[in-house]
Parts: sequence; C-alpha cells; structure tokens
Amino acid sequence: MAKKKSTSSNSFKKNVLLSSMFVTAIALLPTTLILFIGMMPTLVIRLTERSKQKTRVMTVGFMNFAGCFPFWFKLMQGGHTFDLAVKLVSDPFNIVLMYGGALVGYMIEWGLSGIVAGMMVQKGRRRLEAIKKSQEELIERWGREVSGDIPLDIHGFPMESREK
Amino acid sequence: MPQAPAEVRKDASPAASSGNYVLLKGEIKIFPDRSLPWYDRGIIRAFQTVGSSGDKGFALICEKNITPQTEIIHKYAGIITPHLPKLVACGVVEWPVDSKEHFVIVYEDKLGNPVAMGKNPAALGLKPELVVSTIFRNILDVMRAMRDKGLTHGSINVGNIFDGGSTTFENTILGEMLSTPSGFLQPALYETIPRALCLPLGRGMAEFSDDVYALGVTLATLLRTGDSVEGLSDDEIIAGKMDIGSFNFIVEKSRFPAPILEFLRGTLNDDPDLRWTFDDIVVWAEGRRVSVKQSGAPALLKASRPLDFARSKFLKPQVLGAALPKDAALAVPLVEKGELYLWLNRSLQDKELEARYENGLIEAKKDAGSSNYADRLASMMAIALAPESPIFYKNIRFTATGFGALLADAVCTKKEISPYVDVIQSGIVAFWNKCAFAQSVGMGDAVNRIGNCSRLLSQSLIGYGLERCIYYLSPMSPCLSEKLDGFYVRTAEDYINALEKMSTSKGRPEWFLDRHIIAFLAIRDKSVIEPFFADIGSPDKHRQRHGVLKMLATIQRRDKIGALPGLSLWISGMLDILIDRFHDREKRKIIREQLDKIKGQGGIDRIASLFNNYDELQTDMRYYSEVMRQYQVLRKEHVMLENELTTNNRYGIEAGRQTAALVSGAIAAIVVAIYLIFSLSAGKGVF
Repeated sequence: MAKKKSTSSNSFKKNVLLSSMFVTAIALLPTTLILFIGMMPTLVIRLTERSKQKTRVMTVGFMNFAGCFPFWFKLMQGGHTFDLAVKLVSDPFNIVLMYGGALVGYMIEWGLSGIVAGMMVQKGRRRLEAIKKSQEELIERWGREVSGDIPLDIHGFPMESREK
Repeated sequence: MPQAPAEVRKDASPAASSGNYVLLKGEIKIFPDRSLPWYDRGIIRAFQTVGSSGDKGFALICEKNITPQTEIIHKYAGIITPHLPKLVACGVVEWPVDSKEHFVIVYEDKLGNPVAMGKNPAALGLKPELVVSTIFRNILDVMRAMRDKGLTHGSINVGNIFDGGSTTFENTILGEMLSTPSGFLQPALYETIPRALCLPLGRGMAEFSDDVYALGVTLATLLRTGDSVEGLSDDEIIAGKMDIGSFNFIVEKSRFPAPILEFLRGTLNDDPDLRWTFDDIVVWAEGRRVSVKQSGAPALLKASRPLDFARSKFLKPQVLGAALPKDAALAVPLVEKGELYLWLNRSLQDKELEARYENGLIEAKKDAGSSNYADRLASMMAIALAPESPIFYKNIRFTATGFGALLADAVCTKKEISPYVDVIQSGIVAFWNKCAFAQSVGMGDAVNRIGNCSRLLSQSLIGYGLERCIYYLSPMSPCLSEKLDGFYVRTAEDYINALEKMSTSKGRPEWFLDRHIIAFLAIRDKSVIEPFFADIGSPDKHRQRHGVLKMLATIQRRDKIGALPGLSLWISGMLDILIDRFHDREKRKIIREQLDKIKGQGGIDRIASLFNNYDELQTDMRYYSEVMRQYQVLRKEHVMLENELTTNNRYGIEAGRQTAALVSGAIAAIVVAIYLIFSLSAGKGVF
C-alpha cells in the first residue's frame, strides 16, 4: 500500500516537473529552439547510451553545449526573439560549429577512455605482481601453512609434517 | 643346610695389586683387585679400602637387585659399641669390574678372623664359660645398642661373628647387616619358622624376637660338638622345626649345661609371645631365674587323624598350609570335594580355624573363573590353616614387609612378574592380615601399601602401573629402568648425573624417560615431576620434550647441580620441535641463535627459559592469525583482479569515460569562460 502510494507520488512529481519544463520551454521558445537543434547530437547519444553512468552523454554534452553557448549568447544579446533563433539555426555554419563541439566531445571520450583503460590494465598487472610478492614474503616468514592450503592442527601447524 | 667352612684369611698382598682403585667420596680408595673373601656377605663381595689417612677398611659392593638397608644407615652410624663394625662411609662408585655403578658400604677393618675359621661352622664345640663370658656378652652388647636405636640386626649367626683380632674372643665383633635386606643372608636354621618359610628376600624387616631366636641358635651352634643338621636342606630343617619344635630340633642329642638349656628353651620358643625378651636374657645372664610366661596365641594344633595330600600325610594344619600352594592343582579337589573341611571339622575341631577356612573359601571364590583360581584358593587355604606363616602364592613366599624387596628383585632380574601382580590384585594380603594373630611392627602399613598398589596397578596413566608399585613398596630400591642399567640411581640428582655421564656415550638412549623412571621420580621426588605430568604424558612430542626440559631444569636448579654440558647439548639437539612451535621464522632464527650460544654452557635452566615465555608464544600466535587473514585478503584481491584482467575486455573503460567526462566538462567550462571574456570585453558576439 505504502509502495503504491510512493510510486504514485513519484509519478505526480515527474508529471509536475515535465509540465514545468514544458511551460518553461514554451516561455523561452527561442532558447528552446537553439538548444534543441544545437544539442541534437547529445540528445541522440542520450537515447542510444546504455551505460548506467551515462558518462558519454556528459562528455559529448559538455562540449556540445560549449559549441551552442556562443549562439545562445548571441540570441540573448539579440533580444531573444524567435526569428533570430530561426535565423541562427538555419545557418549551416552555425550548425557545423554546434555539432563540431559534440564531435570534439566524442573524440575526447574515445581517446581518453582508451588511454585511461590501458593505464588501468598496466596498474592492475603491477598490483597482481605486488600481491604475489607479498604472499611469497608472508610464506617465507610464516611458512607454507599461512596460505591455508594445507590441513592444519588446532595450533595452526601443518598436520602431516609434524611429529606426533 | 650346613654352612661352608669359613674362608681362611690371608692378608691381601700389595704386590698382587696393580694399584688401580676407585675413589669413594673423593678420599677412600677401594681396590678392586684386593678382594677380602672372609668378609664377603653371600654374593656381596668385600674389597680392601684405604682411607685418606692410610687407615684400612673393607668395602662391600652391593648388588642392584638386593637393596641394602640404606634407610637405617644413619642410625647404624650412631650406634656406640666396639662389637659392631664401624661404618666409615657409603655411597655410589663406578665399579671397574663390570663397569657399572654400585652402592658401596665401607667399614673399618678391625674385625679380625671369623670365629668359625678353620672349624665346622655348624658345631664349634667351644666351652660354655668362654662363650658366655665373651662372644655372648659382646653380642648382647650389640643387641642392646641396636635396641636403643630402634634397630634389629637380622643376621646374627656364627658365620657373621669375628674374633676382633684376639684368639680369646674377648673383643668379638658381630658382622654387619646393612648391605642386604634384613634376614636375606640368614641361614634357615637361624630363622624362626615363619621367616624361614619365606624366600630370603621376602622375609621383611626382622623383629627383636627374631634376633633373640638367632642368638639362641648361635649359642647352641657355638657350644655343640656335633652337627645335628648335617646334610639337611633348608626345607628339611624347616620341616624338622615344625615337626618337633625349634628347641628340640636344634638341641636334639647335644649335651648342654642346665642353664644353657634353660636359655635355649626360652630363646628358641616357636611362640613369639613365650620367647624370651632381651630383658629376660639379661636376667638370665645375671644368673637369676626368668619367670614363666603365658601365651596369648592358641597352642599349635595337631589333628587326631592325618590328611592325605600329594602322596603325603599331614597332621598339623601349619605343615599342610605350607604344602598346599606347592600343589595348587591338587588343592582344588581337596577343598571343593569337602575333604579338607571334613578333616578340619572332625580331626581338629577348632572353631576359629573353621571360620578362617570359610572366609578364605568365600574370598577365593570371588573370582572363581579366573585362570589363577587354583593358586588363589591354595594360597587362601594356606593362610586359613596357618595364619602365623608367611603368604604363599605359586613359587613366592613372603611377609607383607618383604614383598617390596622381592618384587624389586623380580623386576631387576627379569623374573616372571605375574605372580606379584596376582598377589596385589587378589586380596590375598588383606586376607592374611585379617587372619593374623598379632601384628608386628610396620606390618599394618605394609599391608595397606600393598592394598593401595591394587589402585596404582589399575591406572594406565603415565607414572602408575607395576613400576610405581615397585618404588612404593620398596622405598630404598634404586631406579630399575633399563635406560639406567649401568647406574645406581637413588635420587633425582643421581638421575640427572647419570644422564650427564651417558650423554657422550654412543649407546645413550633416545629418550630420557620410561615408565620406570617416571614412577621412580613420582614416588621419590614428586615435586620435580608432578607439575610436568601433563606435558610428559602428552601424546604430542613437543609437549613431552618441553615437560622433560622443565623437569631437568627444576632438578638442576633445586639441587644446585653445576654445569651439565653433555646433557645440555643432548637435550638441545631435541629442541627443534619446540623452536618450531613459533610460527614466525624470524623468531625461530633468533631462538636458534640464542640456543646455539648457551647449549654448551651446561645450564639447562637457561635453555628452559628460552621456551617458558608464554606471552611470546601468545603474541606469535596472534600475529600468525592476523597474517593468515591478511594472506586470504591478498589472495581474494589477486583472484578478483586477475579475473577482471583476463575476462573483462572493457576493464578500465568506465574509468576512462569518467575521466573523459571530467576533462570534457573542464574544457567546455574553459571554452565558455573564454568566449564570455572575449564577448564581454569586445561588447559584441564573436560570431
């Protein structure tokens, strides 16, 4: 019952938020137009992105926004009119700049994730070696029995090798 | 049994000596090649000694299986009489003849010649006046002096009397008796009937009345001219005494003056209650008349018709009692068919004897199905028939006080010991004690000790069993362990010194203890072993070794024994197992280094202290547990990381993307900021 109530409450909040956004988008229609058209690559990646973190959306989005920002700024300086917004988005050069930002973001994502992953693998391998070395040191000082691989008596000594 | 003619004395020739000697207490030289056979005490041989001041003596080399009376040595040393050999020293020496340690007793050599030297020791034919005024009075003096110290001699006989260097017998000396158990060397002729029936080692401590009896026989032997017992065996002598009484048997056809006959009648009385006391003898010696005594014990019984047993006829229950255990198999039908009861009931008609018979039958039938039933039955019946006699069981005959010496000898000489175990477990001794007319000194205690042994035998724990019974019943017996075969170990100190001596020999044992040694120490010196029983008896070798190490350290420390380098090295070689009880190899290395430094110094206590730190062991264990946990954490991490690296081809990608997002965000922020700066400073947009 409580769960049902919580779900309906969330749904209500979502609806209110969507409604607010919709109203805001209508109210700020020139901005909405610029960002909707300019941030299209980010939107597409958001819809196709399957990872939980959605880091690619963020990477591309940040750069895409950086590409859109000058035109939105110009829109704001130009009085924030719908005509100016249409004019700005209808210019292919502007679109190339906006989408170019997204492309740069994509390139950063592609390049850095590969480099970092490689570094992480190398670090992991070094860690494996360090663990092995630590284990060998422990065995050298405390004996084979410290590994727990051989049956031990209640005092922790190997059972088969001890004289009884 | 007639005695052999006394050994003729010849002075030990110094020329015959090679000059080899062993030192007792660092000052008395004992010459193994200068034997003095006239001082030999049976198998106990005598050798010449020379003290630090040049005074001569003789040493009696005791045997391990025949325990000397060391418990009364200090009392003997305090006896003041010129008619007993003066004790010079005693102790343990390594005897070169057999390369074994022996207990040695050294006396002053002022005994002179044996009185019987050159004569028939069974009938010397001396004049009564001479004997009474010399030898007899001298022996009386010894008996008085010993009585004052609470001692008895137990070995008064003609063969043990010496002339003291004078042919007039004025200074005669009675020989020693410390080198063997009481009565061990006493010929059957000189023993009362019950003691003569015992095996020599099973006679137990002699009583004063036994010495009085022996004095009577000695006097008769000194005076008589004919040997009435010539050619008779011990059994025949005992049978003769039982048949006609000791007085009649010993006096027989010999002619003695009337006062001597009165003396012999008084001292040779077979009833100990009627036998003369020392005071009676003194009264007699003063020429006065000794009052007649009344016996508290029942008169000796004699049946009206004989009983046939083992092709012999018996009239006296005492004689039948001695014969039954010899043919135990025949005794069973005799008892079970009721023949014995009929004989008792119709021919003897003694209610007390019949009651003892009934009780004995009940006792014997408690374990009727056992393999030793016949022997137990015969033994019980013998006790019922003759409660004043010793205990007969199979081939052993003993009193309660003599059982310990007999058991020690049987174990030492590897005789069959099952009869001894049977005696302890069967309750024969308790029945004998119940039937006995009168208790002699120490008998009740000895009976209780044998009773306690039944409990000791039933325990299989280390330190118990038959071995413990030996040392419990024979308090002066040395340790009879085979490991200590060449040593005469009487104390814990002797034991540790023996270990030190054998530590460098090739044939040293693999281990320091066995059941004998543990039982020996548990009885003689329990404070050095009892605290470590749990460790020594543990199935774990490291605990055994730690227990022994602590025990040896305790003995060395308590007895203030000097350095024992051989033993230290020996035991140090066995301590790897203790060092390995530390998990930490570094700690092991440190302890090994410390042990290597001190193991040759001879301080077992210092070695033990390396392993007595319980806190260090606890700390080691705690660290070890922590390290084990740490190892498992590392292993888990290794497995997980390795698994990730080998199976996950997108390893690190997510981290890379996050990095990219951060970098991207930062660049975007910088771009926006730069744009804003340029735009705002230029007053219009860039594009």
